[in-house]
Amino acid sequence: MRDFVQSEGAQQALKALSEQITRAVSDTYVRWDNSLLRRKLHEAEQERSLLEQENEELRRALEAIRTAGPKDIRAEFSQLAAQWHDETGHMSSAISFTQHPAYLRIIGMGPAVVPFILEDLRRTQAHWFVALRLITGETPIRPEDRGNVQRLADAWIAWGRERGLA
Amino acid sequence: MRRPAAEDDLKRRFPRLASTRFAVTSDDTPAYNCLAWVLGDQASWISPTLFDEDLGLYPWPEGVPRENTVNAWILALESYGFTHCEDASLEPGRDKVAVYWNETTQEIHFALQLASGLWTSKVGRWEDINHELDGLTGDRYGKVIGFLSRPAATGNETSAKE
Repeated sequence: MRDFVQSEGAQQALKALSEQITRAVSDTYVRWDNSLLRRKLHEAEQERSLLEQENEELRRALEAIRTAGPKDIRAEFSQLAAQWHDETGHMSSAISFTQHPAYLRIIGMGPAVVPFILEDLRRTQAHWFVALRLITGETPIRPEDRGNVQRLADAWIAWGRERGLA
Repeated sequence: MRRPAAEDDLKRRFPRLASTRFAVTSDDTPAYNCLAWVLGDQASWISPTLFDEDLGLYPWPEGVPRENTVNAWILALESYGFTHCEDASLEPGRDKVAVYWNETTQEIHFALQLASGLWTSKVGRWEDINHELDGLTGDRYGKVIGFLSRPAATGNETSAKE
């Protein structure tokens, strides 16, 4: 038996068997690796699909905010401005018409409302000067224009144009 | 530009205009107010304003309180040479102004007497009108609380309208 084991034929057979086992084990590992990779790849693809879906939802939400936001501000401004025009048109006191609730609410809307105020100012030359001053902190008028509504309006509209707001 | 149906709109807001003599005499404009109008100034909005020292928007007579009280408004008119007078009777050679005040809403209004005895007003940012004294009394301008007059200004544009 010992002679057989030590014979050249047996050694070659053992070597061949050993190589065959090694290849089989290696193939198994490769298959396992491939299977694992495929699973990982599948999971990654699923994750990517979810991320793309979330990204699309986020993009749509941002677009909705971007487009719906100004419309809401415009609608709110239009409603308040119409109320202000209607309820203060007969007033002579600037204190009275700048303390009207609609006027104060427009001031409270902040810088986003400035383009709409300038649009109304250009159309009606109504007295938006206090609101514009308080919202923007700017004073684009010359002392000699004091009380001249046309010049006050022109100065503010020019100020708005320089900033792309009018 | 005159507002659509300005006459009907003014009658709706000042119901006594509908039953008295009344006519719209200009387009609407935010360029001047009733105080400027009775002074013959069609280029200024004369009013106190909150924060006015800072904002520098509207002219207001030096030394007159920057407040929306009837006393401040009358002091402003007096600073242009007007003095109190008894009634609405015509006084040749003098410009006469009626003062309307609504105690509830704190609304002021001035009207200038015309040679015919009718009155002319600038209604806020809206039109100039000719009217009877009672035509503007009511919920908005309240009632007439007094009269002031001064020597007629030469070339007064308001007086010249009639």
